[in-house]
Amino acid sequence: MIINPIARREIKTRFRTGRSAVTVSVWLLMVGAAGYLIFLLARSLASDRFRFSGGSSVLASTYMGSLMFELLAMLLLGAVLVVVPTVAALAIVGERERLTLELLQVSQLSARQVVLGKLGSSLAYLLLLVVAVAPVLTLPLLIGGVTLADILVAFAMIALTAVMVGSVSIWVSSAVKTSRGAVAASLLFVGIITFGTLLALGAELFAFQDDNGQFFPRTGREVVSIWANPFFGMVSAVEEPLSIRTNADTPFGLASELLLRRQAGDMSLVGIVTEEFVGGPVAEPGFNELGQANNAGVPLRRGPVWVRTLAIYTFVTLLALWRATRRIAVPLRRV
Amino acid sequence: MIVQMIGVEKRYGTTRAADGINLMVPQGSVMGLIGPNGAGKTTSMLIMSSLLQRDGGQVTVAGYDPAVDSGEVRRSLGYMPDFFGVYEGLTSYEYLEFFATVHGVRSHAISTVVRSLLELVGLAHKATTDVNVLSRGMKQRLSLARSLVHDPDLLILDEPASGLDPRARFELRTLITELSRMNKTVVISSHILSELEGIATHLAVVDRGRVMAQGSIDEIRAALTGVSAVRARVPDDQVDAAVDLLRANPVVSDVATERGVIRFSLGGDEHDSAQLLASLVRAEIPVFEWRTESAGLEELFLKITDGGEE
Repeated sequence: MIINPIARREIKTRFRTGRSAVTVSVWLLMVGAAGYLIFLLARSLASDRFRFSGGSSVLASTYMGSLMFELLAMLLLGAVLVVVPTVAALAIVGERERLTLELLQVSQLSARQVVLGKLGSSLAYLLLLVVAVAPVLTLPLLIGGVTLADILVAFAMIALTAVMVGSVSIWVSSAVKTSRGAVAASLLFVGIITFGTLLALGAELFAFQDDNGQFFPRTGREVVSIWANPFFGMVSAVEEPLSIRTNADTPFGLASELLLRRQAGDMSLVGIVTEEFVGGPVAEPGFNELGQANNAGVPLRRGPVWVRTLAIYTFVTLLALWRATRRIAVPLRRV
Repeated sequence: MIVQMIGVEKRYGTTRAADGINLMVPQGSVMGLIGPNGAGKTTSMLIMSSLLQRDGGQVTVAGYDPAVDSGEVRRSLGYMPDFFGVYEGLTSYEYLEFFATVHGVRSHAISTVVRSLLELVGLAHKATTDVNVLSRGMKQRLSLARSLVHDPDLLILDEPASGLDPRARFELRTLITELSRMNKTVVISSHILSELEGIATHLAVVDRGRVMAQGSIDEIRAALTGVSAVRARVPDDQVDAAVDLLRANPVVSDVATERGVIRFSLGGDEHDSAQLLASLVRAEIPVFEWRTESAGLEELFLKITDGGEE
């Protein structure tokens, strides 16, 4: 298999150091501990929530599995948003500081190969961290409430986010003069797409509320600010089309309520699992037999958010890689 | 000519780093670029290495324009900058292996190439040593090996002796001489002129973004030393007679004496020198010593660069 020589060298030198072994071990311990804490939390919440359910352990474990999956997915997304920019931001500026960039530029490697090699090595580190925690992430599958497709879709969106953030960080790295500046700028970008878009969401909802203080009219309304948000993108990919698995008081449930309103507007058409509906395994109108909202009947007024997220991230990725390539390509133009 | 630069210009803002550089590097030569810091040596090297875009003029390296066919140019040249780029955690062998890969050396040949280069630069015993712990001299030799991984015809070495101790300099000089014997063309810059003396077959004196003089060392000497310094030794009691005789000749000037030694400037060639000596002998003045002193590179350099002072 032909591997980009830059990626191969960096992977080899990075993973042979003691620091990598320590990092992976600490990461495993952290995820293991976090997984256990999430398990305890989910079990406690499920127990509280379903104490009147007449011993419906299926319902409780479904809720518990969903909650665990969602929290672990968020943990992994958070790790991506911190680790990838921190590693990728050093890619080009690090070569400059080590005085090795010129040596690569005068080689037979094209600027594109240099950039892709750097992206590959940055993502390889993340891949190791993900593979290391795979057993923990499959735990919700055993408990229930989550399908393999849910997990794979969430992983795909996390991977897309990683590629996009990594590409932007490499672009930043090619443009900024110091390592510290490159890491700071990359983390600032991550801050903008996560917290910045949430602030924009608040402003958007506030600005477009109707006279009665309702954020959404009955016909629903597009919410532009969440398109670029990695969390909403992931939730949308798992939840849309809005069919099942909608629990109001889980992280994904809160986000998917917004997605429901964006799609439907008329909340009387859709059901959110609340205490009054969880009394037994009998399916209520709008819910399946597990008490989960069955929103299959919700008319899709617009395409799902994840499609927009995918389009935006793909565009930003290609733009960032093109700009990074242009920045390190020499000579820059013909005479 | 393996390198031709004609009227090359490069500006950084208002500073003219290259102000119409004309440089011809013959195939198989060791061309020394000498000049003070900021003269335009590195700029010229970066342009010919395809690492810097020129603003004007024409350049061909091995028949290709670096700005247009950079891939072909990079295939033909090995570039060694005036710093050693370090990758942490690589051994000398892995370091060269990596650069052989990125220079497109076929995978089955890499091991042979790397081992022979380590042998050539005398670092075979350091093959498994981390590059970070090598001495500066060893790093320079490894760096030279790196620039040779793809067997280029042309080597561009920017201040390779900078910061080296005398022994490391000697080793590097020996290595460059060896490369010259291997029919490599070497362009080497330095502001330490003694580094170039003995290894450079050709010189280009660069100052203020221009090549002030270039050619083989003998050609430059001949062009610049229209006046040679001559040292003659005669018996003490014959000094005055010898001086009178010399002063009577129109090609002689600046005559000075010191304990039987006469020094003067000769404004002529070897024939004039021989005729002067013959006239002293005809006047029955014993001549114990008669030597034309050639200008050293240092002197040539100062002469050329001073000439450009305004």
